[in-house]
Amino acid sequence: MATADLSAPGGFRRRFSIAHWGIAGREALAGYLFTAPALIGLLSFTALPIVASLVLIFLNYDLLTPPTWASGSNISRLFDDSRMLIIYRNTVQLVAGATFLNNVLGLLLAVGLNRSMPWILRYILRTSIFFPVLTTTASLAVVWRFLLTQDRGVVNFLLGQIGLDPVPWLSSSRWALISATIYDVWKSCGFLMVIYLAGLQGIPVVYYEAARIDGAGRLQQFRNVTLPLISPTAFFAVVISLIGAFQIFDNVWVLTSGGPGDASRTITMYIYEKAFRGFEMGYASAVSFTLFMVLICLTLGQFWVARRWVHYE
Amino acid sequence: MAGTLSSNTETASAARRARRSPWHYLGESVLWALLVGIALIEVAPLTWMFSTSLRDPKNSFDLPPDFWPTAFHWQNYHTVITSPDIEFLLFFWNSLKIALIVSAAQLLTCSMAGFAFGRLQFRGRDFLFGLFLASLMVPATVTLIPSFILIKEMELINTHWALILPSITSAFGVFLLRQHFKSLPEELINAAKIDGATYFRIYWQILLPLTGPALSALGIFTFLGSWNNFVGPLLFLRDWDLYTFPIAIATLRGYMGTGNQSEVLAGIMISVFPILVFFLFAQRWIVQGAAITGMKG
Amino acid sequence: MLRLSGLGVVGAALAACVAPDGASSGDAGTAAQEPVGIIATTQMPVNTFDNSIERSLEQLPNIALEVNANGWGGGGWDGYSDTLLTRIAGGEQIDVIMIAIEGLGLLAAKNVLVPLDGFIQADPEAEEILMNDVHVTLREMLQVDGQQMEYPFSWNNMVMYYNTAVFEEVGLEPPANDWNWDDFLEACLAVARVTGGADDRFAYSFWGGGMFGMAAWYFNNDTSPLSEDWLESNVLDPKVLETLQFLADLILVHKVAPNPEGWDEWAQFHAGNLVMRTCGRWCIGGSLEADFTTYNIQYQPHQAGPIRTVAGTDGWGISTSSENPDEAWEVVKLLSGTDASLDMVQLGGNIPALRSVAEMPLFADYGPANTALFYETLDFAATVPSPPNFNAVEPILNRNYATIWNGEKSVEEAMQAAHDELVPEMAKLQG
Repeated sequence: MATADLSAPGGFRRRFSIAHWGIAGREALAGYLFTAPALIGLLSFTALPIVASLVLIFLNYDLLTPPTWASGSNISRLFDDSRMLIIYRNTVQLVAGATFLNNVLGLLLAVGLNRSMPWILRYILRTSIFFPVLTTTASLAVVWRFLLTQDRGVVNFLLGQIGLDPVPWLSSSRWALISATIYDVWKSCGFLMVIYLAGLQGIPVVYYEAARIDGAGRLQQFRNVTLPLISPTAFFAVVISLIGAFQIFDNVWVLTSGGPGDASRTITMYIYEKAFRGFEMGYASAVSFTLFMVLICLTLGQFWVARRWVHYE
Repeated sequence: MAGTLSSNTETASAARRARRSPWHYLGESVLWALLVGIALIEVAPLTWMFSTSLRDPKNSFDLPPDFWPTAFHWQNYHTVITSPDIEFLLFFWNSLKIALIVSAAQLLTCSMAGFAFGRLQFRGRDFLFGLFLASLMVPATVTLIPSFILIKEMELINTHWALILPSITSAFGVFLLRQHFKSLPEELINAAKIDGATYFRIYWQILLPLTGPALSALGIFTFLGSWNNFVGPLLFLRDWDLYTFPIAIATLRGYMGTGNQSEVLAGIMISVFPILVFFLFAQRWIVQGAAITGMKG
Repeated sequence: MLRLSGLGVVGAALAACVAPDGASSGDAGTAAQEPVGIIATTQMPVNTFDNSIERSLEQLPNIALEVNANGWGGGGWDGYSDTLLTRIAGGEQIDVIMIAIEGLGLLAAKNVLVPLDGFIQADPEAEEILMNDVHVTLREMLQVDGQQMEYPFSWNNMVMYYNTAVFEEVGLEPPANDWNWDDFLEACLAVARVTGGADDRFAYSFWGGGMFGMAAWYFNNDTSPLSEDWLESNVLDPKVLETLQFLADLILVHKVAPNPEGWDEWAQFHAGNLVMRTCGRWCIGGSLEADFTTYNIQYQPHQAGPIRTVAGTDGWGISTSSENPDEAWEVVKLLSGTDASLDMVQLGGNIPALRSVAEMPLFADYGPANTALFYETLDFAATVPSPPNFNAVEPILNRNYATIWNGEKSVEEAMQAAHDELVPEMAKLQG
């Protein structure tokens, strides 16, 4: 009875559609239709631009006058550009520093927050630490610029109160990048904390109980249970913080404008300046292509690392 | 009896202490110091901003700094809100509008593609999905220049479309939602197929409601990304009345140019305040949403 | 006598503006149609032109005028020109462009501006004003290869602002108009109070970079960062080095000047934490707004060579991309007229290009006691170095100056580095 009722309309539909497409064909059509919007977006705003930027590398183009053929001059210029080295060094330092600190701090804070405590305390701590994530990077960088000014700045005043010398946060090559890193960690470590917190809460309690029965202390539990089981989360967290850190732009744009000299200029900022301040679209594309290559190598490296170190259950 | 009881507890706690101290207490105090210390550092710039935004502009740079309001010069807020050239409410609305449209568009396109990649069989599926995966590696900076030329050719410069169109989909979102669709039980779909449901019905009525957490995660990610977008507006928007918050505030510093720090900070406070209220009420939801991206990655 | 003739010209100009001119009254038929949209862009606060837009409704009924702000792009005139070019490249409609001398070369080189000579010759009133009410220095500054590219609207020089209350407090006489660098340093040492505490008071701060701000110092030491023709680097000139050393010493040796990075000159000056600063007339605006009145101005202190002050002029020009250049020309005249100049003066903006306006009593009303000084300097003003690649030169200089102010590089090292960057950049101009 049930079979007859259910199969009748289904059978009809199937027969109807088979006539035109077949089940597989219908499913394929659905597949193409469902992916179409995303695919169109991907092709027009990622794939097409990548191809276009490959072409741009071989052109001299200033947006205002028609492009001219540059052959390999934009590429050879890369090797003569002494600023590139400094800027990549800055970028790597900022990316490494921010990724490392964000993740270590994020994990420690998550471990700290993942223990028994009154809910109100947990609420206050979590709110305080996470909230900066929701503010806009550029606006709060304006605030931090006020705080970090060398003369009559707030932070230096507080340091003076405990007997420390003023620090040239924004104006010295040694500190400018550190300031940018501090700001990024201030802004993002709460986000990493939340991701790690979810990872920690996903670890079944039985593992800890088993470890305790084996006589493992807190530290051993952390090393033998928490770390391996959190590694997929950590892998994800490191990947997104790396991608985020490579794109740091508004942070340094507002805090230091890339200075002093080039001391805190990042590769993203350099590309932007070459393109939209110098109007050298060809050369800017060549520079951005180097970033593309670096990121491909990095991603491949990450997957290699993941295969060796990340434990999936 | 009292003696035995106390000696019992003593042995128990002594045993625990023997296992835990001194590392346990050291670890505990380090964690607590870290939690409280970081929480204070995270909050201090915000309370400083609030306190200083309430100072008389003439005293905005006075030391020592306030981390709690001591003056209540609400006039600054009035000046900022009523300023004819810097329409904060408009900037807020622009930012909100763009972020909402972009989030909605991404939820739709990514979940549709995620459904197809996770649940449907069709020729070229793995190749197409591979394309999405590969594009995860492409930083926005690389496509910035050609995108500008493209937007220019489409004559969309100085419109909000210039910010919306390039963001209608994201490889990350497709990836995230594919994983979710894949993890849903097969029986659901089989039953629906037997019911004769169309693919659209399977997607829209049966599976999509079950991906709620992943959707909210993507929504939050996207919303934050758009809310924070700086390069896009910097490049594409020219008219003040189209500006979004981040670019307006970064410009405000130079534009007001008269060093009225308190007013600049009042402007930033106005941008932060609605987010704070929203967050206090929806914290659980936001935090869970943000967290879920990590669990499923 | 001169003043009277100046006013006469203004009267004529006013009459010309108020009465609809032949062209627009003759076009009564077209006036009923859709007005032509003209978009002007400026670096000034857009409310400067609110009244002008009102006036345009009456005086130019066939034109729908819009004035929008062109952002500074996070920099000075270099950022302004870049933003403007990006807008034009983006296909945006811009008919009337305000640009200062600093960006004029670049815009002219990119063929963005229409020469105005044709319009001026066909318009006797405008020509009369340009020839007789605008100083020759200002007029010629906005010419490229002998063609008038922009119609002058306002200009600036750089003078020393000082806090009169602090000078009185420490018992210093107001600076004389012939003071030199030694006098200046003496004054700095007398007024500064820097201990690292809450009541720190700095003597002087200056734009850490910026061609205009630095030229104010260079010109008073008979030198310039670029050669006379603006085609070559001159940063290794001993007098350039001497100037930079003097300024660096204020920060690093005498510690009377703050590091400019992140330092908010305006607010600190108004709060009394900064006693002296170098600025043009536009700084009056902020002081008016902040009700700050205990200040006066004096010439920049002088060191060597003839007395010179730096000057930069801005004006309105017509974009080559404008589809309605004739209407744009009407807007250029409206936006550089007497009324628009008066609006700007009252907001504490720049010095008007029209002598007749600068000589009105009203000009002196909106400024410190010594306000007359602003216009007086014009006779010995020299143009701020403004090569066509200004947008590349200014960032190079700024980047390298920053390494002097923070004490990381000696003046010689930093300028050698700047020179090495400037040489290939300047070579592009000759090639």
